[in-house]
Amino acid sequence: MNTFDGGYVIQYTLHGVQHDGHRGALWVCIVALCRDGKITRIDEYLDSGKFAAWAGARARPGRKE
Amino acid sequence: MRRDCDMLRLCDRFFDAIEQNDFATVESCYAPEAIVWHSRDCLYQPRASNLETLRDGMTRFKKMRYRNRRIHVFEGGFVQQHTLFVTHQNDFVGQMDVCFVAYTRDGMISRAYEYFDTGQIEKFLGPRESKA
Repeated sequence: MNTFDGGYVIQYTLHGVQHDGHRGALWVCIVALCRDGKITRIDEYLDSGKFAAWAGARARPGRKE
Repeated sequence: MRRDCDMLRLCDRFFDAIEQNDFATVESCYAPEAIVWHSRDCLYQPRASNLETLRDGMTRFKKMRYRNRRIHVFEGGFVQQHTLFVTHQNDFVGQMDVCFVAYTRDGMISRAYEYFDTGQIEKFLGPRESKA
């Protein structure tokens, strides 16, 4: 995380574990602008091409319940 | 001590040089140990390989333009958000929103992280090429 005048940039990996045990990860970068100690704007960058791997079975077509 | 104006100058020099096909200046912006990470594959690309990728883009596209640049300087680096517009040989103009986070040393980029959305690749490559 790095701060600049009027905001910050944070880079992180979001790890998630679903109830069925599936593990996924998303690599995220957020650029936030702040005023009076509160966030006024967030620009979030991540790769939607990784959503399927992130979601696991829920995203696979033709799955059986 | 942080010198914001030097950092801003480095940032502009780097992206302006890509736009102007000035490969020597692009190369001079990278420290010898420079590595570049991409959100596409989550891998670090070594300096030489990344420079080849940039050179390829600079020759393959008719034009590369970094628009709507928003730059913030922090201790040890900078972040630039921009929309990259590329003009293909068939005149299709592709675009991609990018966030470029750079860590610097001695006035050069030593490590960079480039975030973009491959889910939007059709807007960048054009409908045909992205399916190839």
